[in-house]
Amino acid sequence: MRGLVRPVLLLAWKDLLLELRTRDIVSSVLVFGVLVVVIFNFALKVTPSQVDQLAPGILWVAFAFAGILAMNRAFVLEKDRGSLEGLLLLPVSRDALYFGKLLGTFLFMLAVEAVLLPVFIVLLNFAGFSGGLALAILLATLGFAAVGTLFSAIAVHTRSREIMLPVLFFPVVVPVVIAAVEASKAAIGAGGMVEYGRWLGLLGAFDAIFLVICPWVFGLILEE
Amino acid sequence: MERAESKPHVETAEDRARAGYNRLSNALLVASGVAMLLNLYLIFIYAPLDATQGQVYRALFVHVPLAWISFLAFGITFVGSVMYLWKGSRRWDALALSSAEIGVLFTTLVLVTGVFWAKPIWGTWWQWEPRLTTTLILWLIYVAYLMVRSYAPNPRQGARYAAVIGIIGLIDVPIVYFSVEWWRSVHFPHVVGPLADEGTLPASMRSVLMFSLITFTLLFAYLLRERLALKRTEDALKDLRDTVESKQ
Amino acid sequence: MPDTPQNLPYLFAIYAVTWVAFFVYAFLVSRRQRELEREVRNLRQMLQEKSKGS
Repeated sequence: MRGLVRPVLLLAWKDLLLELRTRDIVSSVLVFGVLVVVIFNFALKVTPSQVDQLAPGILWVAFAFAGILAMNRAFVLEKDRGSLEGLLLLPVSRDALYFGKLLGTFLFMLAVEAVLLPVFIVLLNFAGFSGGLALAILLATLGFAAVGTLFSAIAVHTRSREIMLPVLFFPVVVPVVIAAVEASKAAIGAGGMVEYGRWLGLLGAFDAIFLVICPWVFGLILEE
Repeated sequence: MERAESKPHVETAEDRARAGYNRLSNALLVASGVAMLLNLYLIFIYAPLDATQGQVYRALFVHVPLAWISFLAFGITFVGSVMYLWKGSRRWDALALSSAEIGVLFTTLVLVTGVFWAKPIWGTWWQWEPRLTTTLILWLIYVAYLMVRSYAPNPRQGARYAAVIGIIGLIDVPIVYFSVEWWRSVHFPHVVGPLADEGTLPASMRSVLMFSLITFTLLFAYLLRERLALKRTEDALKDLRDTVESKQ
Repeated sequence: MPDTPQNLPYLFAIYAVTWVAFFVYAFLVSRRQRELEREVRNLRQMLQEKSKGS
């Protein structure tokens, strides 16, 4: 296991540095997130009494779509610069490649969400942030990243990668979306501890399953 | 081209093999046809009338077997995908693809028949209840399976990527079902309707349902064989084309 | 008893769609099979002639 940690951290660090240097991605994802919230405001009339019910849904739609943008980036840079093959030559295991990418994508998505959340709180007059909500966001984002890293590796090789990633990704992560919204609702008080526990458990189980399966399958397909 | 066609066609071992293959396929087709006729009799004449739903409930004998067999089809795709990624033989990929394609056909029919059944019974075209919702997600996943093959840069990579979907997709489906089930229990009262438990069916209906299942399984087997044969021909053609190109 | 005749069109639609879908699919598969088999035969004979000629 020890041989895994260092390559993973190095890969993730490299990706993060790249992303942070091209600062336009952070701002464009931020703008996108704001736009989603704005559209929702006009699509659904969110009265103060309904905020607790509707806010989690809107939040996760924004996170999901901004997340897709983030995950699209995971392999796009490598593919365009032809460095995907270069990555494969590195003396690291397939697992290290996967988890390295996963960590980088995961942290990047968290950063995006951390920026979107205050915006969201302001625009929707949302008052329910709590540790419980934070934990739910963490686990759900991990689930997104686990599946998204694998599918991004596939989508980047296809003709229409902007279409292919959402088409592959969204049906598979439906459980995460459901659990994230429900757990978020419970966390801000509209549910209860039992509800919260149940949905958090589903998130955890999903993460556990896909953190095992995705790297395994990733290793199988990366030999080209 | 005309000259090539008019040359006498000498029967080869290959032709004999194809004829044997055809015989089984034809047998399956005949069996399915006979079963279907019997089935129609059972469905419309033998099966009693349902007290609450009227005649429309007979959709059950189409809707439910189609759903079960699409799960079978995607299970076969799962096995084919795993074996393909493991062994690399094109035959496994052919099995996975053929089964997935027919599975998507069946799933589409499940959705369409479900919608037509729901409207007269529930009054709405659609409800976000676990089985229908999971079927919709299932449909999306395996449509993506087929899409990834067309959008991939070459057939071999397409097969590999599709195998990934074939594996991940099937594992995901039970998870989707449970999460939608939990979600519904939070938001909606228990929906009784067309998709209510087969367990409480009277015996006569249950036996008709079982017979329907057999009929549709025969049909599935026939379609699967035909699609497999087509895939084999597609692969043979591709190999031939590659040979021709390499010789030029 | 709610055996309203208005529901029969739905029942008909269900069975009609199912059978039509099956027949169309089976037809498309077999038609494509015949086309491709013809091409395979042609290509094979073309290759045979080429190897004989050279």
